[in-house]
Amino acid sequence: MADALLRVEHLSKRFAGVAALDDVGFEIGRGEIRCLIGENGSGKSTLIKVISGVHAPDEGAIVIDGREYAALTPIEAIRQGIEVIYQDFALFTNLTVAENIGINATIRAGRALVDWKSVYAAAREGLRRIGSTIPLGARVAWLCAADRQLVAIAKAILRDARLIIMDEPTTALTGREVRHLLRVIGDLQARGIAILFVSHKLDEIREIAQNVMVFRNGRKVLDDAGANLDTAAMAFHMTGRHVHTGAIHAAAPADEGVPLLEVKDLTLSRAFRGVSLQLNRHEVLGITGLLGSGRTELARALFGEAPAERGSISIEGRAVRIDGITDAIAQQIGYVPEDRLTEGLFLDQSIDDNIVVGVIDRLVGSLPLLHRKKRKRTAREWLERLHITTPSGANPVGTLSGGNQQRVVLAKWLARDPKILILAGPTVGVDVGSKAEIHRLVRDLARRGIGIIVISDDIPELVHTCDRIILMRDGVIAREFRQQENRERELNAELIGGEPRPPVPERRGIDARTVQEPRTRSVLHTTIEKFTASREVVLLLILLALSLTVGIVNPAFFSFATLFEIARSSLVACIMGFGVLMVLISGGVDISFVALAAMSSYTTHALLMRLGYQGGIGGYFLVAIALGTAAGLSMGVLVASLRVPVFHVSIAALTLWYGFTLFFIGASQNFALPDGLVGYYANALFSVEDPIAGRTGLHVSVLYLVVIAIGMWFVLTYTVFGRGLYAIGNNAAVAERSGYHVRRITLVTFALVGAFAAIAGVTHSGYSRSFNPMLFYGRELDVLAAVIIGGAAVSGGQGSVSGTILGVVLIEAIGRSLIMVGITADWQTLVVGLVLVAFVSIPALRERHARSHAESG
Amino acid sequence: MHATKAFADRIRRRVPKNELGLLVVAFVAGVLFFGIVEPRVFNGRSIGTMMVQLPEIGLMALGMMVTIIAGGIDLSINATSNLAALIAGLVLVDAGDGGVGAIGIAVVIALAVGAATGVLNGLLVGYVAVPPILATLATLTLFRGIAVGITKGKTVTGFPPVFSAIGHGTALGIPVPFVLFLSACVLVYVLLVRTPFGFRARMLGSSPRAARFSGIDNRSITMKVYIVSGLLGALAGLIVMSRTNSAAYEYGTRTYVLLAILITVFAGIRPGHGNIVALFLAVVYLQLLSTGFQMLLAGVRGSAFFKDFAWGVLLIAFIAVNAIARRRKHTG
Repeated sequence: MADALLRVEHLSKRFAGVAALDDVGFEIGRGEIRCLIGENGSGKSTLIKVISGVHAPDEGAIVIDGREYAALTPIEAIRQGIEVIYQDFALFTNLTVAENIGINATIRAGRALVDWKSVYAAAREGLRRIGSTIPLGARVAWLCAADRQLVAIAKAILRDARLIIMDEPTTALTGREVRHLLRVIGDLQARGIAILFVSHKLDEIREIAQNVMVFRNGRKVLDDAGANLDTAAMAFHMTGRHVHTGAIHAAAPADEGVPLLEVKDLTLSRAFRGVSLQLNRHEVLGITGLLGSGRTELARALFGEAPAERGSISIEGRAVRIDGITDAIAQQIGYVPEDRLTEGLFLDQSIDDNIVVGVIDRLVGSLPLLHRKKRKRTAREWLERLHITTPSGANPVGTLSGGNQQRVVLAKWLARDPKILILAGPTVGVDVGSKAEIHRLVRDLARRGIGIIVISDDIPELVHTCDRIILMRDGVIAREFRQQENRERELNAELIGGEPRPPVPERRGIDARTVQEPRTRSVLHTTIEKFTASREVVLLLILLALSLTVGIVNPAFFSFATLFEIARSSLVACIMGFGVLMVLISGGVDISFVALAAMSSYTTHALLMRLGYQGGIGGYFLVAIALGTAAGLSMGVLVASLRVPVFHVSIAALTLWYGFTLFFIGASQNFALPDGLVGYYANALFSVEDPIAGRTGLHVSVLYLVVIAIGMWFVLTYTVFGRGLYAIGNNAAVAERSGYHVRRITLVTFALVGAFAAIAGVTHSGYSRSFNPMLFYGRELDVLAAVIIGGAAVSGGQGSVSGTILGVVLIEAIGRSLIMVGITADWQTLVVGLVLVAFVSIPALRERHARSHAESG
Repeated sequence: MHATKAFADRIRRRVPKNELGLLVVAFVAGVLFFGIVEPRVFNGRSIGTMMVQLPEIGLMALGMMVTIIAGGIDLSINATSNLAALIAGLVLVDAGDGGVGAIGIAVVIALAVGAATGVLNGLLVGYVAVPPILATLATLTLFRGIAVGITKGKTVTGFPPVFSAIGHGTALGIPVPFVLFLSACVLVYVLLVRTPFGFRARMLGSSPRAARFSGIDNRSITMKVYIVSGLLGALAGLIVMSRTNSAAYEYGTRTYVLLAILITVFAGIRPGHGNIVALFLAVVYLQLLSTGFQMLLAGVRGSAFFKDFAWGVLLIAFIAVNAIARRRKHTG
């Protein structure tokens, strides 16, 4: 017993009275590969959460290395070397492979600075240990699912994992990738790392498991050596019943002559090709295959979501075109998506509305207005017909159980009276009881004349419900099983690809989001594309082109006076922009900075004047930064502790601080300056004689910008705080789990927003020789726009210091240059507006282009 | 099963049901407060003034609400108001004293401009798929640029006297702007709650992906949503124009936009959800605070700005109370 790495005893966990885990006990030795299988809802994920410290068990104990824990915390679990690789891999997709793998040691050591050399070295070591050659500098967003998984494994290994729990690790992998994963797992075992492999697929488990345990309804029903079990036995224990090899239905569909749906030679490159099939009324057709086999893509093509490129579709003998979802719906095709939560349901809307959404046009009265009673009646009818149990149809659909939710999605389509219904993974995430009922419902619908296609990799499900089953492999139909010959084991074997598996060409589905393979393209084209992929380069090029053009028309543009003027007028926007940038990177939108600038500079002035301060700008900075930081921090506290949208808080703060300043401090512009500040406006770093403007100088405040910009760049690149911003902006929950102090980072960010605003406010007031309580009033959106032009994304996780500077300077330069080429000031705003429209549209258009290529190319 | 349940719980937590309740409480508290310390706030004249002042911002907030419910936002709505008013104003001035006919034409033109700005926003957000906050931030500058350009930054004035009826007239003793605002509220209510279009807009805001998979044409719904907000913006512009007998590119600048958003936050409007009564109440509430504090603090330096401070403090209180209530519900 002392040998066990982890032992759990009498573990129980209940949610709202329902036992998710019921008196479970087992142990895992060092270097043991143990598999946990069970149907959805059998308690697998609850167990993972208890072992990794997310949930505390109601009863029982967890023993690690002989030490007993009543409950673990996530941090303690990680410290004990327990790592979970979730299905979503918990990676930061906006960051590089190296950073995702290698930065953990830095965070864990509590260091403030990031040593990139050691991060890369660590990442290299992590990948080496699992024999992977993924480029370290690649962004995780560019990787396919299999590579992402390897990155997650490498990350876990580097954290000195002793037990790696893999939650359904093969769900998103192709057959070949599964093989590689199994090899990696073997290597980990050789290093003494234990693996808990959680799955519901039977065959892959048989291959690697030393020990297998089966869960059903929260209880461990079987625990045996893998060698002693065969698939049928495991299936028996999983489902608690003997799988009928014969189908539960007998009624073979009457052949009607003209098929309901006939598909010929349907092809979508990179997904499936040459697919021909028929579906009759009263028939349930199963389509199965591994991920990447093209089964899902085929279903989506039939529903018009990602239309096929070639081939024909006819319905009841009529050729039809399905180029979009609306076409499919017009042909009375319904689609129940596998990803019910995001594609099937409006989770925060009522159950009733989710049911009637498809038939809403029919629910109008004599006026074209919705008829409340009709709506209620329709919804109630379907609630009753599909036995959806709920206290009220007005409740949000998200409050229903998985099985009931699935019935709501079905009701949505049935209300439309479909001829053909495509069900993708109809019982994924549905409890056992509802599952059987959904199967009965499917049969019942078929009996009523609907042609049904079921896409699933749940073999028993297919055997139970389908008249025929088509097996797809690598984008083509590999085999068709008629009902009489439905043999589960044979299907299972075929699904995995048979034992002596022929080498499969590397194929990846669209879902896997593979790195864009280089297509035939000229070198030049690729080079240009790479070059312009960086926002900074694009901005710089535009800036250069603009200067050249304007300079040719009006040589006066190339003068120190112009340069100095642009520098001076960009500077405050830049400094405030850095605050905006940090908030944008961390995933929020702040607009309160202008009010913070006005409040801190004006209040400081009022205060210092009253105290009779006659010194220079230094004192102003000191006081204003203190005020600005405090005000920013108060906002940070609200955002961090209430977890409310930054934008909402910042609107409140914007109003509040202007109001505060104008009411409590003063409403009039103040031109009286202390002695130390009188000459400040003319304080030049160096100056030149300009033929037009006379003696012009580069204002000393440019230095502040330089210092702050370098500081910001350093912070964003080389500090754990800066990297934490990017991590939080991409996925705050994962950042928290990775050890970033999200709360602290939020507080520091908003404190800095306030400090930068104060610096900008004092600087601007200093060289414009007056303090204004309405400073920068109404300019918040200008600065925000400039930062976004500089490449920061409103969705978070992106943005750079240089981009921000270039964005601000570009807007300023456009203004300057228009005047110099003789376009009057009146048209400037328009030109800036056009530039803005172009700048926001181009990335969106490009992304659409890329997406359509990924889908069709 | 439990993953789904946890997910469901998370959703439930995100859906506070008490925003309207909180607003009603705050509103009643506001009425009582001013009723005791400054009863003049509720005399006929003062109420009349409020009824004239609040429709402009109210209409913009209404437009903002429609876009937010459909998952967007319209930062350009004030620029739309000004542009629509300006173009209508230029036509009206050209027409000289054309009487009621000229006014009709001006109204139609303003609404057409509003619709056109909506089409551009709808194109960018719906068809080009630019994030709404960026798209409308860009068009805000663009519409403003057009307005500055065609007027050379000058204010347009000198409309026929009849035109002032929109801003200064009364119907059954109620100021016309308020009648227009109320009618717009009713229309938007009918549109959002009682038509298939509104139903779809709500679904789109709730989940664009699920909407697409349910056969909703997200792009055309988005387009229509922005056209509605453009029209409401134009109507606000007409009222401003008539009330001030002028039109300028800079009227209300950007503070109106933020004020409109502020109102929607007060009213608890978010993608997929929005209550027109809450919006109306929030508009009246802000106006009440504005007028009330101004009267209460009359003579105090900067009294006009105390309302900004109060709005900010109250909004933070709202956000905090709702957030805490949500958390309590979750843990309790």
